[in-house]
Amino acid sequence: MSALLSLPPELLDDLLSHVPSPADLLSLSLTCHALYTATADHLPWRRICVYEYDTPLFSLLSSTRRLASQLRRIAVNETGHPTASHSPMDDFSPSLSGPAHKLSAYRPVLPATRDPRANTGGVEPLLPQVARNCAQLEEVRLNVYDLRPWKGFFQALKEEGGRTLGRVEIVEEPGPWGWALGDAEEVLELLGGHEHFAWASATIVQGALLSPGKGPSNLLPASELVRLITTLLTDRCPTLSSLSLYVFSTLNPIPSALPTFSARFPALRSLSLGHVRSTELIGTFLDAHPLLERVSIQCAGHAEVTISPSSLPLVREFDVVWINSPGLYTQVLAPLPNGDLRPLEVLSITAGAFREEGSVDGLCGYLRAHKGIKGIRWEDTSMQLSERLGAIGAASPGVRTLSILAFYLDRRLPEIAAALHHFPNLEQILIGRGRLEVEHCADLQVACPTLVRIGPWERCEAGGVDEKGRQGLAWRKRGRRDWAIVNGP
Amino acid sequence: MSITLISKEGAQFLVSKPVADRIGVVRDCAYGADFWLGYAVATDDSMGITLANVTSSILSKILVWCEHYKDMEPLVDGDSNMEFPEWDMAYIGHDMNQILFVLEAADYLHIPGLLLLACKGIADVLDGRNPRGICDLLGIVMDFSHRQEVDMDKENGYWRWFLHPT
Repeated sequence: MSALLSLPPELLDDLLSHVPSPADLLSLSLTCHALYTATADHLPWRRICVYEYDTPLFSLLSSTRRLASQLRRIAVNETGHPTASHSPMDDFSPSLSGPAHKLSAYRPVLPATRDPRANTGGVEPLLPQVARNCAQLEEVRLNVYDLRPWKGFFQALKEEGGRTLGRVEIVEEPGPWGWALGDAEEVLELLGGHEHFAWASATIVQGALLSPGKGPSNLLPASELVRLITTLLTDRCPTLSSLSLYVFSTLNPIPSALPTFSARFPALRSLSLGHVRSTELIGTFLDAHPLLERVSIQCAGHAEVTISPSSLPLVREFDVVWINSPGLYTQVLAPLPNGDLRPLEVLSITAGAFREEGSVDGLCGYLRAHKGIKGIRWEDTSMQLSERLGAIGAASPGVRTLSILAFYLDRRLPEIAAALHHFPNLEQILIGRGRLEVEHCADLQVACPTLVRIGPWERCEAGGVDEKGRQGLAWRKRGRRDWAIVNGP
Repeated sequence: MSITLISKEGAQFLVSKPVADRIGVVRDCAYGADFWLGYAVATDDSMGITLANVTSSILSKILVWCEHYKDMEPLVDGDSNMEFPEWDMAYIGHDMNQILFVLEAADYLHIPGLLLLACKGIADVLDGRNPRGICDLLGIVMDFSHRQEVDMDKENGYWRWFLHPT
């Protein structure tokens, strides 16, 4: 057998993702059945990224059925590029206009005006026919200013009968107007059958509901949208495997997710909920979903959340934050009733839950047994509890990635550096919100010599000399060519 | 400090720590184990680490790359069009079978920079070849029926025009 065909499938997939030329991918796909199957997801016309105002391309897809019928995945966003995705889901294909998979005859379009709604005006009437032509579409990711034009798209998909999309992701691109609740409801009415569902909108505003009598009328718009989405998922998505939900608005910044926490999704493996009000029902929900491998919930409030000893036996990533229940973290680290440990790889901890002196000792006791934890996320907005972080580092020497969410990070460097002394194998620090300049990297690197990435900075070769003749470690901003030398040890 | 690596055939390679650090599995095994097990499995050159899936010739080629990058950071991520230094491209060469073995070994040994370079090398060798040329190069037997070829031509025909407008 050819050495290429004997590669493990995941390695072959990795290799194909690094073949830049669509023509070479096409040639590979036409050699044999095995490569035809392996290259399918990499062929650029099977998955495309486009701008929401790209009238010429949508016109092409609506007029040429044979062409549109090859599409499997489509991402529509402001940049026409896969990186616009808000979630850490797998990367999408390169854009049509990007350098990676450039199609010779394709020319990207520029928005005609600064008014997003005016720009999508030409696209809206085309979308129903695009949906009818895309007979093999499996995945739609929308990151758009205007949701309304897509009602026609989903309506046409529904009318095709029996056609379902495996993955739907709908994200609001913040613009001059918020999305109206009524529009969102109309779109939700047209969906169903998905295994992966994501919705993110930050400025949902009250609009006329289709069926105002159906639910409680006094709910705020974001809470009401969470309820509508939950109804869709429970009624029409029985095989839902991953759910990501970030819904809030200025009027309703921390919505209630009570309907979601009261619902049951038997096949759910990944859950990501942002900005919801905490409730005791979170624990009950987690207990009722034993297949969950990834749990991420940002919940504000003072509800005491607990899980049962046998809860979450498969959890690898536990990211429940903004919570004041120290017991929850100890419970997830404690052994299961049969003595096994949960296969945790990533753990988030809210520092505020461990304000009392000595309260972190019990957590560290359990943490020592979890050799598989490679990532810690430390949620400490004031960074006044960095001493606890040091104790956690000492209890989990296998940690390679530390994510810090803190304001005023640059003002707390001595405390953070002291904590970092206890992380013997830390390779990178991810920074959330706090500001960090290249000058700070040296201080942190002295405390933790294994560090190679700090926030946006990555370490280059040692021994460089800057324009003032100073020698030291060089740190380069990721994604940029310029770099800086700072005084090292 | 140095460490002995043992190839599939049993040949021994004595390498320094900075060189061994480039190989993920060796780094974990030799230096990372002390906090898992309480002791390191290989702390001096009297002990060896067997790399059962890597032949001597490929291991020696890989060690050349590790030696070159012992004091520098290699490229470890980027898109499919990224440019590599001249030394890297000369190192990886154009021998498709050898690059494939390097790719497989880089995956097995957890060397992301070399894995990326091997992908780039393979993409460069494939560049501009037609299906028949790729089959000849890689020893692949075309197993499509005539009917399937016609169907695929139909599927890809329109897009082929995009790729090669005439």
